[in-house]
Amino acid sequence: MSLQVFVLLTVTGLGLAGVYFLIASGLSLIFGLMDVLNLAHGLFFTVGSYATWWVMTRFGFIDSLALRFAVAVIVAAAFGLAVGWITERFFVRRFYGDHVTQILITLGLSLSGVALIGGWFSYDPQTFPLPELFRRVVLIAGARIPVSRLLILAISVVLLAALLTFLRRTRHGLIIRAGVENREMVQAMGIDVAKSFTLVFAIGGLLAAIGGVLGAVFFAGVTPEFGLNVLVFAFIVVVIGGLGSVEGTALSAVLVGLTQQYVNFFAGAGIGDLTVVILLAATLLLRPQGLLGEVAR
Amino acid sequence: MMEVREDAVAHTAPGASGGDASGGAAAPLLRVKDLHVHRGEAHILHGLDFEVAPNRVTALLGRNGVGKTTTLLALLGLLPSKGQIEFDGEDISPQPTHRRVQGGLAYVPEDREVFTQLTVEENLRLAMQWPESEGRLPMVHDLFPELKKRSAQKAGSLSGGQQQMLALGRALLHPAKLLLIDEPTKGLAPIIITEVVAALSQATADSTVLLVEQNLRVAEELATDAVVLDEGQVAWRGRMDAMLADADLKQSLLGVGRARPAGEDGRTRSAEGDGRARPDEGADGSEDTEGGA
Amino acid sequence: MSATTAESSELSASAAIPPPRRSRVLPIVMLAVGLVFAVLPFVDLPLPGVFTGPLSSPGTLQILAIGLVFAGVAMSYDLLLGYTGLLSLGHALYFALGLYGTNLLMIHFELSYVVAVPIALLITLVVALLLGSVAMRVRGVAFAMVTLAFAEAFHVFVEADPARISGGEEGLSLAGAQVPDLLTGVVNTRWVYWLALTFALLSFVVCHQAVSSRAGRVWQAIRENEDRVELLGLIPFQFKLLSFGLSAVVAAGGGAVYLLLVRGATPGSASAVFTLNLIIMVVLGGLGRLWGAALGGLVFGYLQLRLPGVARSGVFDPLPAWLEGPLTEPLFILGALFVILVMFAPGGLASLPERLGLLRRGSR
Repeated sequence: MSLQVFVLLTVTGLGLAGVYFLIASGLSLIFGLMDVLNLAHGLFFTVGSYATWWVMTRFGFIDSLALRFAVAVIVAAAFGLAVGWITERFFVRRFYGDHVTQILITLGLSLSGVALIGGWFSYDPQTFPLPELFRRVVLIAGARIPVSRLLILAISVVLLAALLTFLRRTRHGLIIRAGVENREMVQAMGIDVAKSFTLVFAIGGLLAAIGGVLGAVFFAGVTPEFGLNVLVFAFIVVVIGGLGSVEGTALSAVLVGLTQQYVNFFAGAGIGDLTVVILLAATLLLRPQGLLGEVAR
Repeated sequence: MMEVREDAVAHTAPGASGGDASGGAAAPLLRVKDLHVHRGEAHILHGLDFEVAPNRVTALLGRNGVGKTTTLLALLGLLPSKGQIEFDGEDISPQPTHRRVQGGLAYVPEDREVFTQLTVEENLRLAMQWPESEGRLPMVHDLFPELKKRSAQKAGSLSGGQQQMLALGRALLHPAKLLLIDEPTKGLAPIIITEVVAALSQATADSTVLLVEQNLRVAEELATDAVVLDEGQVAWRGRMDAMLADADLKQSLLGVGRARPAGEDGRTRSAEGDGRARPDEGADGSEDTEGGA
Repeated sequence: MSATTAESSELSASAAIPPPRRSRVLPIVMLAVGLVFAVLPFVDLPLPGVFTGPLSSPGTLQILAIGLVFAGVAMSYDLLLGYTGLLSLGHALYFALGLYGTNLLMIHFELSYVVAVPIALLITLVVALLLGSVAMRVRGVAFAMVTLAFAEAFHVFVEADPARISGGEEGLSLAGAQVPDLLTGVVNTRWVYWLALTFALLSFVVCHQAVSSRAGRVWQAIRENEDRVELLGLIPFQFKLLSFGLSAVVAAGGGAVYLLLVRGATPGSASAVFTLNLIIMVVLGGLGRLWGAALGGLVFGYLQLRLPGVARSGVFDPLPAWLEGPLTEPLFILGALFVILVMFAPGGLASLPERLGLLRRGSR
């Protein structure tokens, strides 16, 4: 293969990895801390992408598309934060210790939320104008790389760094990391873990919603059901990376994103997705706890 | 059962005030009444009644599986329980775990349960959430210099003894009124045990401790009072030295002092279902020591 | 604690495995319901509002038949989730294998429908046992994620269609020539309807026999406490795999009947949404009660097919647009109903009579 193709595929694959990471990291933390499989996480993503579409098409009073996009990111983040908070506070919290009910509730929220968005804005794909800058290309090693790809990559890396800093440098982060390992012991140290639950859901919602913004740019449009499709790959990323490990999730997102791009390009559309699933099966057979996971659950 | 309890209380009180003039005046810090715990279908604690006197170390003793750890977990609210837990004059049984700890309980769990993915320093920092913690850190570092030396190391890479020190140090950062310590010497080499016990006796001087300990020698060194559980009930309460002086009591309730393994002994008893015989023995035992003391 | 471990290991197997709760009434009731459904094609009764045409009209029978297929597949899913406690998010895969498998065998090997169906079921069984044993390397939530991933891989595969066999996004239309004449064409809808009814009843019989067998009791013990089943010297993996394989085959049977009803196979049948819909059906009806799952499937099928029609009829026109849009989405109403049921009536529809005091507690 030519170097140009390889570079383009790599940048695209890394961009996809960024989108996967943003949705998978929250999922992984929520699961690690609370043992909750949050099926509504795809909805958080969809909320983010529709917030982008909404701002980009309805905020005509902001002339500059670049500025409008910046507003879209903030609006999406705010919506994601709110939806995550509401999900934990009013739905999941009532059923601590009852994992099946929690899963069922997030499932119901996910389906009705998607249908709500579909009912409001139709199930047809919607497109929106992007800042002119995004459509420019830069030459990297002879390959023409769209700026939007690089931007997606940059935002994902910044958010990864921010998340790791938060987890490593703040007291809330410390409590979350400790809680992922041993929730009861954190309580036994006099810390109200339930506050961290809400926080993790809100952060997860925010990250997934920004993932939705980037996903809308990456796939050049929005549809209500898209979040669920991405959620499936986020699950794969979470399991391969090791439940509860942010670093593992990042690593596995890169692995999955690149594999998918390379194989889809060289072997045909769809084969890359299949390969990723085979990767998952191999991980389960060889290392059920995931790449950086500590214990099998 | 009632008989024994009254009896035990009757002779604990004079023992406490007479033998230890400085610490015996106050009301008990912890008073447990009719504590029941179920785990699944198993009824593990069948109505415990006991007290922990302030500024003393009370050992919670009994054979493996009688419910000692369960008792601590129930006191902390980590296991659902029924009954009254009066701590420092307040019934804490409706409170969630973190409230109970904020109210003055501190916990050193069985098997350490340090956060293996966090560094030593982070483990301690997590525990430093009380105004007094900052001032207590030098004390913890003095007590366990190893923790200072290894502060950047992941707790999971520490040896068993070092993890135990971390678990203790973590609890000591909390200016707690009552320390709940579960088997601090479990699985440690004898030489480490000596070290841990020395640190423990230094750290727990003048504080109130409820200590679960299998190693009778360690319990003897640290504790002044004893509560002995059998089959999910309090079988004996009194002074530690009184209990140690009674070979029959030790043999029947703790399975020590004779060649017969404890497990075999326990099985014979439960098979006979002689729920009444043991309390009588306990009562006899305490009366004997009362006479002797 | 060692005390509890010792206690449970001493328990006899019979104490840990629940005794059979073989209801003698349920099969008779189901047979009666089946008979009522069987004569519906002869009833010319119009039910305005409920259905657009009379009961015997092809349109009405089509809706009922899809509801019956959903009922049968929902019962197979209840076997997994309700009785064995396995949260699989990949049941759509097995339904779709029956659907696509049968059609592909008919198209590419020119097999007749009656030959293609058993082969498709056999293939489904093999696939289910293979994927099931890999997925069972992990438990609980991770199991759910892995089963979802497997199913989604198939979904992507038939949709992207790299091998040019599954028809991509459009799907494949039914290989009509290979199907007995009696089961094709609008005039013969009643025969396909009877086939769907037969499938639903067969699914009930198979699932009912399975859950009241010894294996079925072990499933329920696994649902309650897997470790304890292991302590009894049984291997939970074998029983879980049995449950997984059996429910997959029944679901594939549903797919094969569905093929005739919708006259084709589309990728949507393999999507995660279909599995999630199955969960809604089973929970709507009540987990761990076969008749509840069947009811949930029927109600779901009916609502999903009828609600858009109701919306088109203009009932919601007076409502403001922001409300009208979502209310015409069956999944919005079903999803919201589902959340409310899970939060406030955890036993599902099947528990409502009990909750409302209409039935004596414990009688099922």
